[in-house]
Amino acid sequence: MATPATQPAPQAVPLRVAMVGNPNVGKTSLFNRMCGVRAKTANFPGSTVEARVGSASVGGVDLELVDLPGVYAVDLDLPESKLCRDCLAGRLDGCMPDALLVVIDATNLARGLRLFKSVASVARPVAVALTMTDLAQSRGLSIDPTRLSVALGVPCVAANGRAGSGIEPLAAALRDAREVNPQVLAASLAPNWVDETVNAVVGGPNSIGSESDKWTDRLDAAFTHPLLGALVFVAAMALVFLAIFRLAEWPMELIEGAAGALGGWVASAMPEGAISDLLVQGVIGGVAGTVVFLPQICLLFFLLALLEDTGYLARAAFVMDRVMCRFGLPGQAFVPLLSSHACALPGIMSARLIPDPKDRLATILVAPFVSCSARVGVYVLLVSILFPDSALLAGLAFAGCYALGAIAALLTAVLFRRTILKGKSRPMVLELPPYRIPSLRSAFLTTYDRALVFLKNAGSVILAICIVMWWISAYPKADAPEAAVALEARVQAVATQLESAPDDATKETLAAEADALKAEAEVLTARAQQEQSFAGRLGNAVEPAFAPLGLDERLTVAVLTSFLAREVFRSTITVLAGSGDSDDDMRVAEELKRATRSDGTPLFDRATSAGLLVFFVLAMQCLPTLAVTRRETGSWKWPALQFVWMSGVAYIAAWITRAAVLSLGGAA
Amino acid sequence: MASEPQDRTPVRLPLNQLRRGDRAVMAGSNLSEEDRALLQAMGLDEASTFTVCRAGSGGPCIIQLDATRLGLSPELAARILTRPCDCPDAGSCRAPEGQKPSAPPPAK
Repeated sequence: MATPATQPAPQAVPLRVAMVGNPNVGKTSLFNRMCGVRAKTANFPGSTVEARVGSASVGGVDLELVDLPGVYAVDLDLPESKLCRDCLAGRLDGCMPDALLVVIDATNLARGLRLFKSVASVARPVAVALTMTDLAQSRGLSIDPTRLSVALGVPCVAANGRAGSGIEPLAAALRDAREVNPQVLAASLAPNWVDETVNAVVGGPNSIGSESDKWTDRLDAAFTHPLLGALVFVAAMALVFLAIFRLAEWPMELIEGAAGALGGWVASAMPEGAISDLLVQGVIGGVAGTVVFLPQICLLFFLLALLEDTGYLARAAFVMDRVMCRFGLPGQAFVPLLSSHACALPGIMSARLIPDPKDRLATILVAPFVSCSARVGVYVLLVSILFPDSALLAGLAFAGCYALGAIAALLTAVLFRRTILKGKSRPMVLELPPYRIPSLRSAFLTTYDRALVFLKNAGSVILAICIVMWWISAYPKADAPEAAVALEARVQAVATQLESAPDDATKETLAAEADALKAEAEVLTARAQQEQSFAGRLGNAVEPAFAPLGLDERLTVAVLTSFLAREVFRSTITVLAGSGDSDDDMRVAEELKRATRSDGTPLFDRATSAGLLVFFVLAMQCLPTLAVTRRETGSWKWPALQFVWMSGVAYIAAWITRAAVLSLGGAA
Repeated sequence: MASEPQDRTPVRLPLNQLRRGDRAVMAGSNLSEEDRALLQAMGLDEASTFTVCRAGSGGPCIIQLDATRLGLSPELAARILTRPCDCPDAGSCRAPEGQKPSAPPPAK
């Protein structure tokens, strides 16, 4: 430690410290160690990159830390460098940092010193944290922080965020931080200052890490091999998704169960009416429909954080860049696109791994094309209607849906990168960090942070959208149709007979009849409600627009309501077509296949079903995804484009598909 | 690397033509200002000595630069000129065996 620990003086306000460092130097580990859960991701106006802000009280020193994104230099023409420049100049939120903490990797002192040099001229007190000293020692290097402190003229301490060592001395160093003196500033302008400083502290830059690391060599030989590396990556991602699907299952069921129980409790505790409906169906139902994805999101970010911490993810991006660059996307885009197979929400959020803003935006825009788990129910239904007797054809159609989604995503990426997102991509220069054992603590904190961001979004934008969508689907309230009233009357009559039934067999028969009549009455009432609601009226109004796809007014309403979420299609169409909903996919498919239009032709003829299947593969029908896109891009412009483009492509592709099937004689 | 030098005249090779295990010094580049500044900030500038960990072979390559491993796209590697060398101080330099120096493509 460079500065002796002194008795801390009482602080009126926390010391605001901006943390600056190269990527992969352990800066965020230090931040996490000091702040723990007292941190949040901060979006600053006009910036596409984020910083994290947290508070800490270490060794009697109260700190407000700003964890700036890792940069190689603050004067580069890159968004993260601009954010650092703005922060150091006090332009982020109008507050100048009280001190700067420059985090330097002991195994890469020369590069850290170049960054120090670029921020030294800022008229702010500076302290230096020297990280990775354990790794440096394992490579036979001995770096004395005191000598470095003397050379730089500012406090310098060795600290390790993972192990938690050196944290209190670091806080004391921040309290004692001082501006870089003019002599050091003048000396740092000399062309050889970095090399000379390294020589003075560790004996020459070429001694640092120049010895080959056999383990790194062997692992890199496998992980970055064009073929073997791709296979390893596919296997790693398959394991990640298997874990997500398997492990997220029970907490998702738990959330659904808890939401159902909460809704039931609220409904029973409140008088029936609009407010009860709003709370139960709009608020609880809407939020639960989004929060149910939280386990998948948490698992994905936890596993990705672990993979990133091991150093593997950079190798995966290196390998996949060879493939993805053909579609105008970087190697890092593979993870978000693959994640979107589980759910587009975590997929879009994980696009933060992509450093280039245009690459990131292109990935976010195309990610919802990838077939997510919510589409599976609709695929199963429509494929069962299309190919009820051929498991092979059904399987091929199912696989074709996934392939179509992936192809649409990649082709859209090519188009967008050559048109609206035209421009030079950041060249692929990836730093491949050393392999390390991942920090569970850091992974937990990253997951916690991502979960908070998601929940905040679910509690604001998504909640508002869900309430509006619920309202237009549920209002105005329709009276029960005459047929339903008549059925209810028959139910009452059967109930009366049931009371005076002579034997158990008659009672069973009458009870079954009453249940069937009641179910039929409920279907008729629900259908009338659907047709009379604002959404139903809208469906009838826009039915001519969907007529070229072969949709009648019922299918149009079902498609429109499915823009809230795709899985709504099944429940809506079973109500409107008068078939009962059931967990048995084949039974529902058979009943829907028998449903007819007003002219007696099948509702789900082959051409319409095929077109509808293509429509559901390509259309943007997920409001939470649009809300997350808005949050991640900071503008409604991009989700609007996403919606219009995907729905437009879906419409045209569905029309072409229907026309093709019709021309092949597939009307029935 | 070749076992015996054929020509003591320093030659410059694009980085993507180096082979695994070759050690070289960056001797120039045909990069845009932004790319040059980024590489310089990452520690790769003129006179930097590095070792090739994975040769390009039409794809991206990996170099070891001090303690850092950098993955470079083929386009970028093609624009970085190097002087292959046998020793860490970039002394005796020559072309790798069986390869001829060629000029990098012009910067876009």
